[in-house]
Amino acid sequence: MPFSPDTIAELNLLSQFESSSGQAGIKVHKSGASPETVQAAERLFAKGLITRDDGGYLTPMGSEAVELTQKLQSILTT
Amino acid sequence: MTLKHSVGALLVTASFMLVGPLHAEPADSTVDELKRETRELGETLQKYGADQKDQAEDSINRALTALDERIAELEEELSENWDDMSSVARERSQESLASLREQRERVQAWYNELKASSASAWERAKKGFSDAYDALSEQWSETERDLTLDQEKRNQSI
Repeated sequence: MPFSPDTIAELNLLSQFESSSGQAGIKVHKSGASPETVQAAERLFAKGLITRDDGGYLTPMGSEAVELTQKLQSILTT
Repeated sequence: MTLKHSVGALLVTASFMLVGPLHAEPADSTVDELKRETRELGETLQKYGADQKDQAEDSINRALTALDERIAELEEELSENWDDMSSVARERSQESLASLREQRERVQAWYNELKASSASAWERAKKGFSDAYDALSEQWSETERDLTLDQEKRNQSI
């Protein structure tokens, strides 16, 4: 099953977190970010992966998702 | 894409050192004690293994309960001083307390994860909790500083 554009946007947003530890948060500026990114943030928030609908911090599940995203990226790029 | 990376991690111990002198008065001894306990929890938590889950939960419960009480006190202080504060000070204090509540919620999410974690997931959950707890401690110090600075300014203007 191919990744949908929505899923890819969510993966891209998750990859913006510097690490899965969640020490640093991110902010998606609705005025400047692409609509895809803004909507991806809203979906990740609705799924319980981040603490705010415009970014915030990773939740425990979001932290796990970032770890898996990083692993997948590492596998695919080596 | 305009993603702005927000606050990075600072050493909690460093933030305590920065804040320390502002709370040297006897009236702040309870706060100092709480800061010490908070710092100690961060340190001792690292030593707990999965087989010491109950002890870890007891320590965390005590620390979070004390911290919640202090947050409630800060909110009460803000409410009491509200009429004497400038609009800038009000906004800054509200934002600071909102950040503190956000960090507290984040710690609770990781605490729930820690309590539910299996032995194999313990270290990962503990790391997540510790990071969130460090960020909460740091934000707490900032909020104490924000509210103290405002109090000092008002005292000087009287």
